[in-house]
Amino acid sequence: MSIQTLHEISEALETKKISSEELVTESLRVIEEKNPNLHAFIEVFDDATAQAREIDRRRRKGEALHPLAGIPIALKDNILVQGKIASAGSRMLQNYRAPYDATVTSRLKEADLVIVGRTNMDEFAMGSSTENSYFGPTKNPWDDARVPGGSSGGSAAAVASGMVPLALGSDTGGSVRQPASLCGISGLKPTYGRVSRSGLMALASSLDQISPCARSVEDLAWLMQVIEGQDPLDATTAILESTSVPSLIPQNVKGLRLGVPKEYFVEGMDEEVKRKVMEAIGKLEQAGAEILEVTLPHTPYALAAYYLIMPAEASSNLGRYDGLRYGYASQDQTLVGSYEQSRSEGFGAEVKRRIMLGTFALSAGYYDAYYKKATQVRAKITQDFDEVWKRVDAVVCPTSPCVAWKLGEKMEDPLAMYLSDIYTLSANLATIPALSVPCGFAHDLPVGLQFMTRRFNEDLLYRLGMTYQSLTDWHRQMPGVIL
Amino acid sequence: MQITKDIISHVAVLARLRLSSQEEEKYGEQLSSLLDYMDRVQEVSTEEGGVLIQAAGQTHIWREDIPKGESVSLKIVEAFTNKEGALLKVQAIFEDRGREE
Repeated sequence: MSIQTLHEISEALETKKISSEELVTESLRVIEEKNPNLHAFIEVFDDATAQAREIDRRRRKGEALHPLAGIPIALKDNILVQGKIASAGSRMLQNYRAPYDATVTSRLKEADLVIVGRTNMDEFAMGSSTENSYFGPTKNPWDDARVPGGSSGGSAAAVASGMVPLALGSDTGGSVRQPASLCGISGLKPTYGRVSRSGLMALASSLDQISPCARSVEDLAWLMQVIEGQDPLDATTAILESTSVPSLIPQNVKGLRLGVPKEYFVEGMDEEVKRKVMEAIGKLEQAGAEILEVTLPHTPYALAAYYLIMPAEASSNLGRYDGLRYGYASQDQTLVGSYEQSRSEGFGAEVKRRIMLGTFALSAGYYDAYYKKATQVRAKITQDFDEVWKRVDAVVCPTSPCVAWKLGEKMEDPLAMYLSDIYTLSANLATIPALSVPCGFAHDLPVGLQFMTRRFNEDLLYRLGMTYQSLTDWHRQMPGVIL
Repeated sequence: MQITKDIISHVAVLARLRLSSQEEEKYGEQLSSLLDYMDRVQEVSTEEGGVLIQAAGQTHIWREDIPKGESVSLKIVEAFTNKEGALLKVQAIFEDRGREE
């Protein structure tokens, strides 16, 4: 199933060569076979097959359905589906049932996609390896001794291993693009304001964006058609035209100017990864793109600014977990004691670390030197990109400085873990769209190529990604683990 | 920046976290070394350029306040951790006087 494009699956459904029930049954079969080892899903929903059957019935009656109707999709565990548990990978919300649908969930349901389950993630999306899940780590489908990346590691592994053709994650600093890179699939972080955040559990509200994972850029673009667009429930969503359907995207890069930021190819980067990325850039040049070296001078400060702003916003957002309104509760003698006890028992180590860091950065006496300074650096980083867009149409660079690492390797060294986001988090800080596509293998593990461009110019990312995937077949490679 | 035990204890109170002495020590060390890295933001000259907090660059987005019925609000009440019938139970809020901070 998963080696087919969405377009082919959609056609097979419309011409009744295959039913949605068969698709969902196949999806559940692969999950049953591979999930005990990979642990991409925390829960598989028991009503998926019934939903598929109902969609088939409506199709047989001749009802006009959405082109993606009946196709299975997985949702990261921080996106609400009414009546289902949404735990954000945390003990805090282990038994929390969503009282309403996220806007993306409503839109998927209106288009009749079949939500087959919820995928594993770092607790409250805090992590780059999916090892911070209260429910245990997810493993990389290419090598089950290695991490899938994170925090949307469950969604990326589910797509990479062929469990589902589509999944949603959330990307705050690279949490979809980095696991997409490490698992050899395609992942898009849309422009901040392109997709509604209503019903996505907040990590850092000025950076969060729900983001799709798929086997190809074409498939990402089809899924964006369903989930994007203005939403009265998220005031930061923009009122503008939707992105284009893939059939309208030109499949060439002739005359496009692509910038290679010199700050992105510095020491600390895996040489094999660098070689693969340079080969991919060479391929785009052969196809007619003009390659220019550009500079994003504040890049060396991006990680520091990000890891002040994100924990600051997170510490504030996670204030809502008080042991009273919902979630884990542990009663002590006093009210404050109960807050402290519930939070200390309900949150894991990384979440506490970031709450401490963020609370510190916002505290009296340190606010100006840390939080405020970081927001000023963020403005500088955004201005760097504005300058670059005067010379080039898009930036091309690696998604991750390394391939998937061994489970446990970076767990005791927070900074080493954070550094794996070094190429992705600038796009969140600058609120611009960014795309990761597979561009080969280093040390027998997938490598990702990243494109970034101006705000709300996802069409150009589709054009670059689709053209690259028409010239290469890296996105068609499938891991052979435990088959 | 060196994060002392006093700073850690103070931040833990602000963050409503109860840390064991091992956790205090561990987070103290980790935050110190992380902030040593984060301190590089001080090198950036930011006299010009302003701050960036509101990411979408939009202001004053309003929507109609349309009642949506009880179904969602009842489900939200259902999630409350301690309740009796339709009443939500919380601990007394005026009992922290004797607490040492």
